[in-house]
Amino acid sequence: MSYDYLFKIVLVGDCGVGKTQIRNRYTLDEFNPQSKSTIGVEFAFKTVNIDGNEVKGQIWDTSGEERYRAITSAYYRGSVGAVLVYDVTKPKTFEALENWASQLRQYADENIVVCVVGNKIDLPTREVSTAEAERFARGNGFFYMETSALDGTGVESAFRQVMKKIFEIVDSRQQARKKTVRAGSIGKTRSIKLTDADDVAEPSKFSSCCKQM
Amino acid sequence: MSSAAQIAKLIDEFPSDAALEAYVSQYHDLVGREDINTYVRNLAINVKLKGSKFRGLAWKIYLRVLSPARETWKSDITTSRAEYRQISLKFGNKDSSSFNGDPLGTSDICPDDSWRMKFRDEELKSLIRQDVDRTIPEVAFFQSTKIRNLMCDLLFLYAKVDPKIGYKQGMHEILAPIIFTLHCDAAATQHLSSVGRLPQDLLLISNGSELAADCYIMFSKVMRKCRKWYIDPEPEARDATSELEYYIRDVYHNHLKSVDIELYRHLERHHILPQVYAVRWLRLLFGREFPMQDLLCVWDFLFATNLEMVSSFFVAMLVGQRVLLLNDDAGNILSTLMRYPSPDDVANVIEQTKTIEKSRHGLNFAKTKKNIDQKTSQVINKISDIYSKIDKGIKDIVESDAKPVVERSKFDFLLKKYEEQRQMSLFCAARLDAAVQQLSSLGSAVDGDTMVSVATVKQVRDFLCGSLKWKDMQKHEGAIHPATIQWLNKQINADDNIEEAEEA
Repeated sequence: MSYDYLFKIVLVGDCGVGKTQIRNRYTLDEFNPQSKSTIGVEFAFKTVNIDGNEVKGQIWDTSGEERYRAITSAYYRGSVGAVLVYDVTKPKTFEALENWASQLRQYADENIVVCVVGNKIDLPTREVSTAEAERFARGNGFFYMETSALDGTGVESAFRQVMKKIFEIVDSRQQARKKTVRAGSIGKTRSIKLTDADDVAEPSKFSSCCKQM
Repeated sequence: MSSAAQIAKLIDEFPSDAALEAYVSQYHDLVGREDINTYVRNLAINVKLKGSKFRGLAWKIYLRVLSPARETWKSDITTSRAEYRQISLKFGNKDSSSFNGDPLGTSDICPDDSWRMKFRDEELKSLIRQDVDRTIPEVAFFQSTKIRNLMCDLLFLYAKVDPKIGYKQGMHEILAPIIFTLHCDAAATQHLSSVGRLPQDLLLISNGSELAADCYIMFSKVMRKCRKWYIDPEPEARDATSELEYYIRDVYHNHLKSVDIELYRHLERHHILPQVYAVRWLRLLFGREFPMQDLLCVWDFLFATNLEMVSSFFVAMLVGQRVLLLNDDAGNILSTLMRYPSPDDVANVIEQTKTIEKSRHGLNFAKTKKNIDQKTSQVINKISDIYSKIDKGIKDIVESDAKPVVERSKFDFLLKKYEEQRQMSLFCAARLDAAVQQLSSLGSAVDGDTMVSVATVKQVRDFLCGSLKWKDMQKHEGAIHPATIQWLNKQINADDNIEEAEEA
């Protein structure tokens, strides 16, 4: 299946908040209560249509325990979107978002689109309020969504919003460039980086997977 | 003889006299040998333990839980189980009545920090539990509460005993196949002990009621080799690279490159970072890359080779998929490596590993030989240098006899120079000696030419350290190869000519 854009989106958050479940719900529309703990990294693809463009999301998730720099930098490299996940029934995982956000600032592109996601809202034992989480997200310039990977609530729309925002950034930049760059000099099908200079420069790491899939 | 798998089937389906007989005879076949170690090791290397009811026993031998001598097994196993019991008593579950002080107190008020420790332990336990509950869900064995509790206890214990590592995600999947294997062994033994008599040492070693102890011991043996892949770099050091990363880089940039340059270049061209897939490969000892029964064969092989072929196995996995990988682009390459295609027969990957390992030794050997050749010629150069200087020194002394007072300082200088050269000779001799040791350790792998060059090196070494005298060497015709003497003379003459020219 061909596509016009490739967006790399990373999932981050503590162990057991449901990163893999969110990825599986989004890319496969399934929830397996017996999924294994993620060791290292994993990824999956899903293609969606945004404003008439085929946009392929490459969704990565990593072990919440992963502190190895070896993986960290490879993990964030080339990512244009991030989903910061916590478990609404475990305040500790919400408090940890501070650390995850700072790691994001350290390793990811400064223009990365970030969505904070409160997961497991299907559980009755909620302990972190929506207002509190929204405050955190706004304070950091992120946006906030709530999900249940179990029943699927909010997952699709959280990713759609992230992709849409990335697309808007990319699109507006292309519009601006059209005035200065002659048409045809940039191939439309390619992976996207948010930093302007990189857009035309060397194709990024995953550029070759843009050809066809 | 029936294959291990056939016997296993027999045992499982018909716990009869026939099954008992087959089981006991297989046991005797395994252990009633002079060299149990080599025999059992070969079984694993040739992928002959598939479905065996003695796989756990074989692992115990590979991992040195049991020594190669059967007579000491009883004491081996009793000692290690006693060790486990001690550790378990020291760190295992304690009930809260043994804790003093106020649980809500801080360190200032609380006389001892056992409560704080307890809270930390509870946190650790729930972290472990979270992973244990997600262990290999496709295998029903791991759904059992009893097994899960056992896993939690053992992982907790290990974390306490090895606090530098503690518990890290992935360790649970190192432990899981160990428990599975030892449990299967013990279940078969128990099963058949109800039919008839079994050998005493088998009953002792493969004992279900000692499962916890035996699993713990084996797990710590495996972790001794794998723990380096779980160590975090120091948090203060910003650019610290973990041992795991070093290892992966070495396998990828050196080992793979030397084995399959085309594949290496292809992966490089597509910017495939090996750590993206390899962290999981190594930390779980390839646990997620193969179905359980295949994985056990892989571990048979890795354990039997003392976990020294992990790197070659890693490369074999890459090379095994080279056709697919060479025709893939970046996205598909990563997909292939992160969801490794199930091999038709895992024995092929193991065969490939053996081939790679062999060629690796060949390469190393060629390298060593080249190094020694280089060193030899360096040493010969130095010898000729020494002799030309000594000759010149003597000549100078003889000539300077007429005016001894003036040349006293020159004489001292030459003495100093001579001493320096002697030291250098001794140093070179020591270096050559190390090289000889290294070459000798290659044993039967050495060919005739190399034997000759080792002999030459030895001769040069003896000469340098003074145990072989120059005049002795000259006395025996053929002690030095005529070509070498010719070459030496040429060198000395050349040096003389140069120095004479300089003086002129």
